[in-house]
Amino acid sequence: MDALLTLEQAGNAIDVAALSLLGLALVSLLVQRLETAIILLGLQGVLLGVASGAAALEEMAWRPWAAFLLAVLVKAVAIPVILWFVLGRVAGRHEVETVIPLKLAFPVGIGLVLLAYWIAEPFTTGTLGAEGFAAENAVPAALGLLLLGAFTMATRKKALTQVIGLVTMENGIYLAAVAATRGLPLAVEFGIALDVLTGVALMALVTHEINRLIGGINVDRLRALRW
Amino acid sequence: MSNTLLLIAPLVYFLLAVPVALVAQRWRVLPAALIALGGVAGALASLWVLRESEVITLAGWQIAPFAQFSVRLDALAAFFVGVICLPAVAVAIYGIGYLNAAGADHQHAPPAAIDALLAAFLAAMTLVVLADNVFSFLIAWELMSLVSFFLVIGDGRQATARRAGFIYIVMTHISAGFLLLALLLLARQAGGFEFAQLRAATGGLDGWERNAVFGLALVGFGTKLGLIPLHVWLPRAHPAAPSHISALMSGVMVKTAIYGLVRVIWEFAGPGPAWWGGLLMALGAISAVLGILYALMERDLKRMLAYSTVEHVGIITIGVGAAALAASKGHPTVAALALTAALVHLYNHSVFKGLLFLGAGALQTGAGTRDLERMGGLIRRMPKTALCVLIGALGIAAVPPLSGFAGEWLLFQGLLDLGANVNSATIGLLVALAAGALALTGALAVAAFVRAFGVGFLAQPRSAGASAAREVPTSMLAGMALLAASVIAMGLAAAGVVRMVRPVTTGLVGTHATPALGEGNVFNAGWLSGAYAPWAVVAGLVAVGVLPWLVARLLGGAGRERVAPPWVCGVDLEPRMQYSATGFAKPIRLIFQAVIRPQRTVDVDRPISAYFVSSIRYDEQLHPIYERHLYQRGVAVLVGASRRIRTLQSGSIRAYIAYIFLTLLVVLTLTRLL
Repeated sequence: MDALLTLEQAGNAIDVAALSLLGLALVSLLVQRLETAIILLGLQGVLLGVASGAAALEEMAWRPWAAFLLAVLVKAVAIPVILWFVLGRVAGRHEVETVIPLKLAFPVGIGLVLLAYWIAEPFTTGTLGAEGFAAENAVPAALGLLLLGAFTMATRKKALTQVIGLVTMENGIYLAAVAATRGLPLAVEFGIALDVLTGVALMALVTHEINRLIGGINVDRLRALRW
Repeated sequence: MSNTLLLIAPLVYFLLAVPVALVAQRWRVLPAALIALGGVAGALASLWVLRESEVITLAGWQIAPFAQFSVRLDALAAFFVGVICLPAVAVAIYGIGYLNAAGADHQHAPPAAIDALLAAFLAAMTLVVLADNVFSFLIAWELMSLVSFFLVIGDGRQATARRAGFIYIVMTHISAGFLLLALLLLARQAGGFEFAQLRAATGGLDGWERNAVFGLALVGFGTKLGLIPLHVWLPRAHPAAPSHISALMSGVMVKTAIYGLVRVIWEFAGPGPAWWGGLLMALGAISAVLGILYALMERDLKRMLAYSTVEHVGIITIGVGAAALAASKGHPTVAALALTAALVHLYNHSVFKGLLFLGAGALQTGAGTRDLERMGGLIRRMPKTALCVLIGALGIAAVPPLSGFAGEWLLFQGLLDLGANVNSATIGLLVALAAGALALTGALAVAAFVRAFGVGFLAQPRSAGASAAREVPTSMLAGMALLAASVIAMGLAAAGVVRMVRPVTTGLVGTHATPALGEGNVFNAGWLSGAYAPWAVVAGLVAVGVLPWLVARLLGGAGRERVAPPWVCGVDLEPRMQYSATGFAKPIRLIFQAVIRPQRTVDVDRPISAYFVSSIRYDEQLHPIYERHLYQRGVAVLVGASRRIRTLQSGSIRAYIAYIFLTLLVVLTLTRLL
């Protein structure tokens, strides 16, 4: 079958998806309710699906389509559903609790994105080689997602938000992989997807247990476990 | 093919005994039989290799490019396999009854587990001496340390055992760290990890590297060896293990360090400068004298034996040092003599120290105590054990026809030869001091074992446990008897042992010592030295001991025996009136108080008036100076630093994530900048 997109068009699509992902991640910093955060995480999955879909349309082989399906199923469907399910069983108010005020978190997030662009500068313009897509914002956005995810994990109090931060970081890595390699080998793709899925399922389970044990999911209370 | 079988037979038996011990928990004879078979196989293999001077190698399987198991049985390794395997047989037999004997407090872990660990321990020690590359050696070394650590802590319920195990594992890891550095330094120079490559690259080392390797190896092996001041773990860990394990740890395991030291000094780092040997002799002399002094002050029989191990390790080290010194000064025959002395004494020590630890275990089983002050009179209640322990004590105190004398006598010959041959005032002085220390050690050792045997076995029982003591089961007696017979045999056939060591010294020094000239049992160590013939000593003993008795008997007729109560100033004879172990050591404690610094506390209770004493409590402790200045200070620094680092360990998950986040930021920024 002929490719529906040229290499350049696919690159542009991935570029747009990457920028949108970055925007979404920044917006997530401002979100107050856990439900909204989970929905935004699902949207991140959808955007990743767009990126890998663009790659698939360009190559038109069964392998990238399988990767696309996998990405959408895991990141846009399975993970948000699992988290939603856990949230339904968690006691207490479904509110994001942060260590630093949201108003401060947003500028810091912007700063992190700028830092990501500065760090990734050597990799932005066509240095990805013949293998990659010409998506200028992909690598900086991936790095930005990584930093924003880590920042989320470090500054949020609830176990569930830690999971969200981790998945955000993982999304960044996935984005870089799609953009830089035009798709990983399917085995690797499967491995990563299963890894993330298992990780999230386990963390959901642990979150649930923490909730059962200490009547909430505020990880600060775990400090009492220290010997 | 059959040769390879020789090489692996003991290993296979020992390794097979591990699962058998765990599965056949009800038939503890099975693993014991396997271990004993392995011991016999190993002893035979050792004798065969030493006789035929053949080298057997076996390249094992490759785990990674740098990690391959390979083993090699040359003369030196074969000698040490023999050292491991002879006590192994006795220990396996002894273990059957010892661990089954009910009520003794050594039962801190299930017997099956101890059996399995014992087999693994023997396999690991065998592998240490067989290992033919850095990788196999370090793996075997660590395995040996770990298995013995588990044997020391038992089930972990006894606080003293836990603490002993902790100190042991810390010290043993420090030792392993130094060894790793030494071997890696050698391997870097050699460009490979095989011992053959290390041997071949000896010439490529410059003086600095040689000295570094020697220094690292000295600390590494010296710790395992128990050289003062690196010995702190030894008197704690050896007594904590079950007695038959203590026998192996004290009798055999410390010897693997001598093996390593000999390999490094003669094969890997080449014959070094004279100060190597001098340093070894000095350390050995200090360890020998202090070791026996501490042994003499000790009330706990097993701790006393452990300190005596420090002493004997010191004696062996004097021999190794004298050999290294002679080799570096170009006197191969003297070096061969001193090395022969060290190795012969090493073999003998593994047997009689093993025997004495088994005896201590028997006393614990029979009389329920390890405290000398709570024994007494056991020769009447445990006569067979007493006989075995007596033979061991005579052997370790170097009383002539028995094995302990041969090695020490040879060592004196070696030292005298060295002093006479090396034309240097410094070395002459060093040799004189070492010989003096050796003589002092010998005298103190006699005192120590007279005290141990006299207080433990003679006179009246000092506790209820001692008066209710019973003889131990046959298997324990059999194990001890085997070693006791070996002490006698190796004493009478000392020339045979010397001949056994011959291929080892030939391989290392290039020549073998003249001591055993093949003229039966007469040693003749050069122009200066005397000769020693065990049978002549036996004849002399018969002449001065048995003959007068016979003559008196013949001339004077049968004597009349009259039993009468002893006169004790009109009161009843009480065990408390006996010479106590502490009292026996008092004169020596006074003489050496500047060195060993005893501290005593005397609590006298006078409830009514100053003239009526109701009770006196006397407590005396030794505070070794190096423990305070070397270890406590080091530990204090370490603990302080750790406490400061511990503040990082906040227990908050977010803090940990923040560390990772900040690290990420720093690393990314650095990669961009650089």
